[in-house]
Amino acid sequence: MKAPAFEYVLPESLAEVHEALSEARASDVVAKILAGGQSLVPLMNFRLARPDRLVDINRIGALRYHDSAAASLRVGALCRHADIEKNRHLVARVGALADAIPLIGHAAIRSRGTVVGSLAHGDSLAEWISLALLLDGTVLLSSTAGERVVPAGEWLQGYLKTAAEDDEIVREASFSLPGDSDGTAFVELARRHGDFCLVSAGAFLALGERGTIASARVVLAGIGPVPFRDQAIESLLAGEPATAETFERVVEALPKSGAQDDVHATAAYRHHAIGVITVRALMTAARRAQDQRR
Amino acid sequence: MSGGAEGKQIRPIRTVVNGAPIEGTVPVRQSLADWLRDGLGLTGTHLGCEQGVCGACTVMVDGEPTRSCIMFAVQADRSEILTIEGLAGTGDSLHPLQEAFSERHGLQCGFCTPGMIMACLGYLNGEGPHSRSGLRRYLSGNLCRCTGYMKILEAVEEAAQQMGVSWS
Amino acid sequence: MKAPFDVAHIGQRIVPRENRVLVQGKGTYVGDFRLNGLLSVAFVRSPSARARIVSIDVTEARSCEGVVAVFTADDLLGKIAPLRLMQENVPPGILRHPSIQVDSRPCNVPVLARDEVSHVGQGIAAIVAVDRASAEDAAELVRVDLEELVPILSADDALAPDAPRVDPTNADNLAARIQATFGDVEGAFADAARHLTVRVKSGRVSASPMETRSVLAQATKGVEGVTVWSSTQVPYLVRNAIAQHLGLREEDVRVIAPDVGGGFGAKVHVYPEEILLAFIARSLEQPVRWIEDRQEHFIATAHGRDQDHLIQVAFEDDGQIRGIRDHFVQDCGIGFPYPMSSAYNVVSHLQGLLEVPSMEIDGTCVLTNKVVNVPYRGSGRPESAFTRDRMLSRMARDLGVGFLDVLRRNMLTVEQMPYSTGVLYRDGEQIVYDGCDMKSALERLQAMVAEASVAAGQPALDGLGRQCLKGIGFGTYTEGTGVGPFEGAVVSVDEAGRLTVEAGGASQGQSHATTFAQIVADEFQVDPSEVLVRSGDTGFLRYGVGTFASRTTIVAGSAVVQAARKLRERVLNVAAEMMEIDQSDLLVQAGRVSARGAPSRSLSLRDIFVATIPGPRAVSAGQDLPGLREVSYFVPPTVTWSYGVVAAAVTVDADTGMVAVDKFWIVHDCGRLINPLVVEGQVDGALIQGLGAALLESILYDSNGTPLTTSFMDYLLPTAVESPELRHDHLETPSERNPLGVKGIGESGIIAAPSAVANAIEAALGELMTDPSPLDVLPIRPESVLASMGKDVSRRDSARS
Repeated sequence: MKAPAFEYVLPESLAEVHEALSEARASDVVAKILAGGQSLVPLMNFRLARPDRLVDINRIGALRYHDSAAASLRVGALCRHADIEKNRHLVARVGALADAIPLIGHAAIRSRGTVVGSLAHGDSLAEWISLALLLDGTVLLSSTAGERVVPAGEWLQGYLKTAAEDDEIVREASFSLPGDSDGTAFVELARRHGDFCLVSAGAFLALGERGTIASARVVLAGIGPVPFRDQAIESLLAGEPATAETFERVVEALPKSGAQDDVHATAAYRHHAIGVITVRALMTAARRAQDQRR
Repeated sequence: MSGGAEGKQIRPIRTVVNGAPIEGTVPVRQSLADWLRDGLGLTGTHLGCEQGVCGACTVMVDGEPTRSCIMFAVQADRSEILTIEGLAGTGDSLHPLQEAFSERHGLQCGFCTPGMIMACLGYLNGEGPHSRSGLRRYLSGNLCRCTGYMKILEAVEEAAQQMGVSWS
Repeated sequence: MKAPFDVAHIGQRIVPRENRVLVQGKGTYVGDFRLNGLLSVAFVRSPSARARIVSIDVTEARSCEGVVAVFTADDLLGKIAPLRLMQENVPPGILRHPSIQVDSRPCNVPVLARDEVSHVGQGIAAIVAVDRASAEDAAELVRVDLEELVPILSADDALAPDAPRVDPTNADNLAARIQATFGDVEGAFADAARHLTVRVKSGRVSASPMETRSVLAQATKGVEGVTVWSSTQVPYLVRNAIAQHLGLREEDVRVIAPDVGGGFGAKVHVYPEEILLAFIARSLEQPVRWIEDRQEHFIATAHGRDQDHLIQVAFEDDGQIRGIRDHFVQDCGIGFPYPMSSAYNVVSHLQGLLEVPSMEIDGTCVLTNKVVNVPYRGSGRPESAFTRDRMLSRMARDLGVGFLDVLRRNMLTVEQMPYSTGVLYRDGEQIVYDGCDMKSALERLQAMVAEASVAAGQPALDGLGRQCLKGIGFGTYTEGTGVGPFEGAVVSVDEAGRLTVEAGGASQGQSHATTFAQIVADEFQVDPSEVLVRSGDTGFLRYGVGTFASRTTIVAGSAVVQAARKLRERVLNVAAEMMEIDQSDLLVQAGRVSARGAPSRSLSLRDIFVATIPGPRAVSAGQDLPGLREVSYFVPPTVTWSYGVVAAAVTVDADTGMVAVDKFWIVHDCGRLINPLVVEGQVDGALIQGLGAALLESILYDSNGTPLTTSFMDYLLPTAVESPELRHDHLETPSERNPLGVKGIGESGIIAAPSAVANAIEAALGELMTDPSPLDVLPIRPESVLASMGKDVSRRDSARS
């Protein structure tokens, strides 16, 4: 399983990246960004991905940052999963990150793989794709033509298919951070630790004055071609008490179809399991929101 | 579009491997694992899957455990690499992890072992707290088919003690 | 004659010498060798499960950069015959037996496919290039025109009337049919108060050693023959096959298994690549190497298990078994080289340590369009033990008692030993259990489990509202170990006075070298570290077999001790003559032979070596042959029986059906332990492989016969997280069937672990389980756990094993 031949380009600046990408597009040549490579290179070794040109951005140190000073978390293109994992303050603040990040592959993958790379790669079971939806994220695209922002809800169009144009690089991703009366949680069900999930559920609960749910976000993965926010459930949750009884009731409204059978689980199992873990995610989010308020 | 000029592209790299400066040229498509094994003759790093799943190819790149099968050698330019061959000091003595793996029988066929030991080194070098359950989670990315993992865990606990790494 | 000795190395937890080398990354696996001019090989493999080859066009591939040669079946025509798979003979004892019938067919596997491809992954062309990447580039340019045919993917497909032939020379797609009866089965089923029928399936699995297969072949111009390094468990079988297929003398073919990264049975088969690489090396007069990649491994290396049993039991109201009828089908892929191991092992292991007055077993082994099926660790024992233990669980459920109650009701006791079961082992000999004390093993196990005070079957709700149900279950095993036909060993003293051993067998992590060193160290009273040991090389011994079926320590180890004792005798003879002291007054120790009571009168082993160099002054001491070198072959009388019992503690999440194994306990009896540390390692590994088969591992195909599980992301091996703490205890009933008193242990835990897990899940679910039958199918998936609670989450499509 040796990667097919490709042209290797090592830019030293973002401008050079833009140049390499737009030149590729103009010459009808497929160019891909190489950041962590933890998703792309295995596909190249299988010869399932065959970019003509790899643009290695690892020299552009200025892209390795993350910044959570204000109400949002901004993550540069070279920020590794491990950089976030090691930010104890941030992880303590956002329960969903504490839950999800340790489940991204394994330690060696997290030390090299990047948050933005995961979003750009577009695997519909990747944790960051769901987290972007859960935390009202946006993706900042950059090219010779300038920059534009794509909200998380419009980002993933299908398996490995994002809203990015061929000549654009994701320069940064941004996530809004929960407030003081908010609780978040992320629950994955996988056959083994570190595997891609069978299904996952992300929950965000903002509690109102009397402990009822002011607003909710529920992100589901594994029961459709891409993760999505279940707006039906979100509306059912609004105004309700944040209790197990509420949660057990609202999950009746989960979609009953959309998942596929595969070697790891049946579609029917996924639809059964998503109900179970959505309740668990909501309960944890509720508990965290309640704990915060005390 | 395979083959042709792109197939021939090579680039110079400068690295430090096991403490020794190495300058060479590599085909850009060659993985770090293949360069270490075939280019430098450091065959201690093994290939179990070439997909980044089994962990047998784990080496340290700039102090981080890295799957060398899904990294191109050219990306190692300006980096420091530590392989299993560089883990022991000079002379006859072994690194405490190597000693412990050997003494505790934390290996049988030895194929996963170099990558396993490098991963364990990463675990012990990392911030604690360190525990058996934490180690199990950390090692979930390193497959072993022979040992059932028990004696690997015991070996790491033994090495931690030797290395003064606290264990809960 | 066995000498008394002061220091016993046998029984010591000596750190395997192999470890120190391997932890430094200094092992040499086939992929590590560096040879000048070494070329790399990649294969074009069939994308189809069954198709007629219309044409193969290699022109573009041949002119690809870096390519040296391309081989297809046409290049082999008249030069290499198809690989004939019939590696196991049916012994006369079985052929003659009035109530055992074995119909075992040879299979012919092409070295490269010519007219037809018959499984996804079958080799169609071999590309030889300067490196693997170039070879893979060229492989993509080979154009294969296939006319798709309907594949045979199940026993139903294979046995249907007018079914197409998987192998053109095999008219009924039958690889083997095995039938055995003893006692009055009809009468048992007519008279007994109760009957039960259970359908039990053990799915198709992949041994998945961490090192894939690899072959390196070198032929030198002007030198006869070829040298082949192969990641194999059976160097002699490979040698013999290469010699036969290439028209060479066996002695001109040398096959070496260097360091091998696990085998577990997948490497016990002679593969087309081994024949082909030897051929290519001779054709090109350049060394060539093929290193299988992991994706290839899943489609081109043999799989294991895949047995579907329908077992019926006739029993009384008190639980006593009157008779068992077991009909099974095994899905063999395109070839089944070891029917007497994989399938016949059901005959010899189904009853385990139960007293079964009558039994009828009927196994149908069918050919299908999948890769070959070979004995994977356990080889028929796990499938039959799981079948038996599920049967016992059902009996318990029917009677309203516990699994252990039914087991005890039918268990053979140590007072009944030696016990003749009335069935023959696959070596043609009567099965006589030697010294099996299941009752004591069970008592020890229960004591260990009780100490851990795990609460069984008590539901608990955790903070997330998760129903965490806990349960403990049991499984038992017997293991016929140390099967023949033989192994050999050479024990010598070299010119430096060092003791050296060259042994049959081959290692893939079993620390044989250390074990053999301990044996010789005892005979010569030296430190084991001073004994040089090598094995896995057909250049050392003219005859050999290989490592599988838990046999090497017993059979090769016995050859080692026999040769060591012969050598010791020879050393004493020579020393006695040289020193003019009676042999009985001499001591052998620390590399010297000394006079008892007068230690200053001594000779070193080197002195004795020098004295036996041929020449006019050579000391012959009554022997014609010069030197200090003794060869011995050990032919075991029959197998010797290990046994044991395993308990598993599980936690079941009743809402998701996810199962976590929290602990395994095992009590085993493998006779005398030469190295307890090595034994523990073997047992640990076996248990976790058993866990894999129980819950995670499954080779699946789609309805076209295209494999769906071709990477470690799809084929799930247990990681350190899924693997629990392991606790051992053991009994030691020395075997009388070999000079060492040892029994085999290599398979042990893998045989009983799935039963223990399934039974533990049942215990955890308690009243919530309304239907145990989903737990009769391995692997037990979360869907199966839910199904056993009455929740149907089954698949819609037709993915199958």
